[in-house]
Amino acid sequence: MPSSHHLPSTIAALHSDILQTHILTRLDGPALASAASASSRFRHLSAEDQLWRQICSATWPSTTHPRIQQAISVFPSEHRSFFSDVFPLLDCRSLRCDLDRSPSSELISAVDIHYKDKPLLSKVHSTETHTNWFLYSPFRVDVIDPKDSIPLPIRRREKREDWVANLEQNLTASWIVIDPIKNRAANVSSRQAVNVRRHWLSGEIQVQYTTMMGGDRRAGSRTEMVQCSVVVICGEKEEDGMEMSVREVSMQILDMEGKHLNGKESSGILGEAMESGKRIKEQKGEAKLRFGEYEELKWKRKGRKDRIENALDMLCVFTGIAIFLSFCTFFIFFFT
Amino acid sequence: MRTFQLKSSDNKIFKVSEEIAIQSAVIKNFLEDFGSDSDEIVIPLPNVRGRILEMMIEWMVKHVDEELTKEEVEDWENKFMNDLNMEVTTELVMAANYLEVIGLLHRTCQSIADHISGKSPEEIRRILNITSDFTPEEEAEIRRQNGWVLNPSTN
Repeated sequence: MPSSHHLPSTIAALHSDILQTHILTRLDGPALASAASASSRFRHLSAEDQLWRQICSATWPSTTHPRIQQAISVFPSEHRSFFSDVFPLLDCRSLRCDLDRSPSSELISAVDIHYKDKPLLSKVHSTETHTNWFLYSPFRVDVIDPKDSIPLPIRRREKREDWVANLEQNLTASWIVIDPIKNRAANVSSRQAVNVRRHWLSGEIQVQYTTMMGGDRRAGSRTEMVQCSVVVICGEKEEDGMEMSVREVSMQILDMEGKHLNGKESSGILGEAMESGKRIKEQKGEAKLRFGEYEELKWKRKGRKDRIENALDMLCVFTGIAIFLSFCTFFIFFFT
Repeated sequence: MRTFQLKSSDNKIFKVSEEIAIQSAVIKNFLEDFGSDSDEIVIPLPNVRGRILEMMIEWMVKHVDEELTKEEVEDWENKFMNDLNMEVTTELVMAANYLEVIGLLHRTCQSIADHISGKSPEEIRRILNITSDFTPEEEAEIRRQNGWVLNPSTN
């Protein structure tokens, strides 16, 4: 090198200040997480909570709510831990849950619905989980007041048939559950819809975001596997039939027969999911595939159950006939 | 319009007009503080080599050209950035930061961020020419916390 001024310039030559304020701030969450895993300098620079706080509030506007901020502030590395808990897809299929464990005293939900990547609705809901009423009644969290509805920006002239496809494509949901005692969180929604259907009578469209979870794993039990289901219901506004609005946003856990789990069972499963659910990279269409597998499992199980029931029915019928016949033979034999 | 000269670290001289050069806050201050009527002012820039200074001036000239529309400047700028390798981009970041050419600083940093986006840690190391210097404990910690980002990107 003829002059000492020109040394090869790698990113290492950049001042930390430039990296932190001008480059890391321009990264989205996955890129920042990736950069933080590249070298110890990047790891150190990306530990700044402000970076992660901005990413969290951009991804989930609901996290700016004071209650959520308070909960995140006691996470081990605040927004960074929260992000790595919540951003990846949750894979809980291999979990084995103790459905009898006593739940933490509170479960916080932070819910965000986006339409075409624009925020449509952000809600925070806190559920007290130690009352008997909660523990033993069917578990369901609703975040929209029944009197309210959130208008959807769907154009008037669209055909109703297209609404289903439109919603499946563009409506995404995030449902974050937070345990403020154990300082863990998880996103129980599949983000992309796994199932959209239109109610034949009311015309309401039900959009489902489902995550499969391992239940008690006992073969044949109704809670062998369960599904955590975030459901968004969209309907037409009554006054003018061509405008859509979101009417209901709820989360519930259903067993293999499609019945609601109670509060105790549900918080056992959610607690286990937050603590030990695997966090994986989102792959397009994967959630839908899993939903299909689960539906198949349910059908097989139902088929098995039906076959056993049929066999039992047949057995009863045959036993009946046999008894009847033996009676007849007995009478015939006796009176002749 | 006054013109004057910028001298790079490898002693190359560039003649520029004031209008172009004052996009650099540092040069603007320099001229305000030491401004003279002479066209013979030479501003030494010992931290910027000639090739980089030339590119910077090229960028600054485009950004005061009133005949170009905003879109045309943007198109030109995108092409300009795409043609650069990471080493030159990094040097431009440093030069833009040193001379406080804010627009160029933002655009070059954006370019680096765009290169990183959607990449795995391994790919980022290759792009930025850095090596992993984690202790085994840190490595394990990262795997535990952020295992999901370690897979190569699948797009």
